Amino acid sequence: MKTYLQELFRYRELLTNLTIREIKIRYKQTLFGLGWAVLQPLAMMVVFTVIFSKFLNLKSEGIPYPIFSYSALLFWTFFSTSLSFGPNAMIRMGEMIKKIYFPREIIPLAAIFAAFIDMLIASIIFAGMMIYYKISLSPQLLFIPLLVFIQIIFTIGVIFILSALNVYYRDIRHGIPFIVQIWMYGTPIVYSMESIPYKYQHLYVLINPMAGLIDSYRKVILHQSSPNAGFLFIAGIVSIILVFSSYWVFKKMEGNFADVI
Amino acid sequence: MMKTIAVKLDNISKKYRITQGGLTDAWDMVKKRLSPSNWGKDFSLEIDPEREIWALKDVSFELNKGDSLGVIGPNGAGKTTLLKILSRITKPTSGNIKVRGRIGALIEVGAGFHNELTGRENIFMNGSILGMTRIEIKDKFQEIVDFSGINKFIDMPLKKYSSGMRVRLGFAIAIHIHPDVLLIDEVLAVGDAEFQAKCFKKMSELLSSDIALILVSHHMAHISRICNKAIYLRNGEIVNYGKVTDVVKSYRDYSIEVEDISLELSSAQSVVDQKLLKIHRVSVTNLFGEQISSIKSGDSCCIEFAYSSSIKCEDCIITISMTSTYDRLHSHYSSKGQIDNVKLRSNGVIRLRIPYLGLASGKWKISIGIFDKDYIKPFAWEWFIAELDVIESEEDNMHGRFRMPHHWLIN
Repeated sequence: MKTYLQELFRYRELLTNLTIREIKIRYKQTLFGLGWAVLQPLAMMVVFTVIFSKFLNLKSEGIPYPIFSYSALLFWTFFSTSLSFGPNAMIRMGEMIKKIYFPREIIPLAAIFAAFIDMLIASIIFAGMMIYYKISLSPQLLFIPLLVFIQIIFTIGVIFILSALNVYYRDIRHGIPFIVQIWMYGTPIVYSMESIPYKYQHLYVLINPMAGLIDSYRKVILHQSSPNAGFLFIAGIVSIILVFSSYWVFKKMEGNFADVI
Repeated sequence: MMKTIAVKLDNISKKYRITQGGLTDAWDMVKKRLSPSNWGKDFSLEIDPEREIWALKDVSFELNKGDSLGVIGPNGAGKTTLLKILSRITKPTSGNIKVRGRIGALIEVGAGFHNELTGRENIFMNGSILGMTRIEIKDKFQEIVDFSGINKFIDMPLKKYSSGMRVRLGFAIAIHIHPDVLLIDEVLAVGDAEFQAKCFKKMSELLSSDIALILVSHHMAHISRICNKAIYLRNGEIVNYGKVTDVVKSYRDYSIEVEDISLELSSAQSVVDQKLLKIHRVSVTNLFGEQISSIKSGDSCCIEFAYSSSIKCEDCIITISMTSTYDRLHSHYSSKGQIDNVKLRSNGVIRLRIPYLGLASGKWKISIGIFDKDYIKPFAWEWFIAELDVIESEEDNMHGRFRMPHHWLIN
């Protein structure tokens, strides 16, 4: 594991270059360019607000529904974009995998970092909304880097295993859009964590760490309170176990990528 | 001084499986098991041999720093697979591999190049793919540009580059990352002569600075020039491994056997199937008339043969040609225009005197023909009836297939 990480560090320049290229490719020949990074969560927010708040009257922890949903969508989009682009990037880079050696995990990692840049851009809108809805800033916002860090670890864990499998079984590529869809409804984005009976909440976070993370984002941003320590602990442990095991699997499978891709 | 090992391979094998992939394979399996003729058979131990290819079998060798290894062999011998395993693109199925230091690999022209990016951007991109940091690339940037000779085009998108320019750029980047082991696959053939010369010079420089080089090529001249060791692969196995001259020679000797010579032989034979004129006792002799089987390049010799004829041959043409067993180049001599009115009796001896044998080292096969005066109908035509081993003089550093008499004049 240590040698893997050392090598990865040696190739950091490639990671930077691929991230930049990933962003360029994604918005090449698009009308809105980087605007898509904002448009996607924004459009979802509008749709969700109309359907879930106006029609269905879903509870939103006493917070205006647009910012309630956007606070989750902003971070969720980071996760879902990584998932949609990462494993497929392996296939797109197939020719390079066949011809040159470099640590292959750089490919999905570049997709995650590109999605991260997207999120930074989309958060400009979020800042505007915070001002509009007069959400006050609090020291609890300092939790955000930690939360994002756990989320990145978790995302890497998920994406490594899917990327490795995608090389062998293209079924993954077809399955991902719909995994993302189901996963979104399985995460408190349109609804609140409070809709889940308290006794099941920890189990819920254990099964879906994203639920614990999304709830924590809302706690620190919208409620100016500390996140649920239990949720964070569970999400953190699951993420760490997942990332190490999935990295290990990825590295074991990596040797034959060039033969099967 | 103790030589340090740069590359060590222990029994490397690589198996490829031919699959249709996924469900097609699974479905084939199901069909096979369900077909009535296979009922009750145990499939658990069965491996379908038709679907497995051993691209490499038990390949072992060792390379020290400063060594350069040529990898030769026919197409499909496993040469590229070997390079892919060395460069870690793919893992061997079994065996151990140790490579000390950084590997620079040039396996395919422009792998990792992007057409839309400029030459400059590609240098940075490609450098980072090879594991360099931005600062390292910046340091080497000018050297790379100078070496590749593409100064004028550096800010043009790569899609406007010629294939030669791409190779030059690719090679320039690969050698400037200061690899400890440099792998090169056949790419040099694309560059022009001037660039090739430049590459050879650079490779020699790198070798003296203690890198290890592995070169895959079909050009024996390239291999002989730059490598001190060679391995000869065939069907994934090492046929010969050792000093470059020995290995190249064994490959040259082999390559004649597999080519389509048998076909030519039989068609020529049918023309003269009556055997009215026979050629026998072909020999090569030296100045003193002693029969020899090998000769130094540049020496004088005499090729002689006896004939016996049951027909009257007046005004015929005699030809002797020598064919390189490696690349099948001919050196052809004909009596036409030199001696008119060659008359053959019922038997006799014919000699061709060669005061200066201008052939380079290697095995040469001798063919002899006797034709009518119009050079159309052969009375006798014997292909590869004898063999001559031309050896190179030790101090002489010559490449190519033919040798001209020559003298150096300096100042």
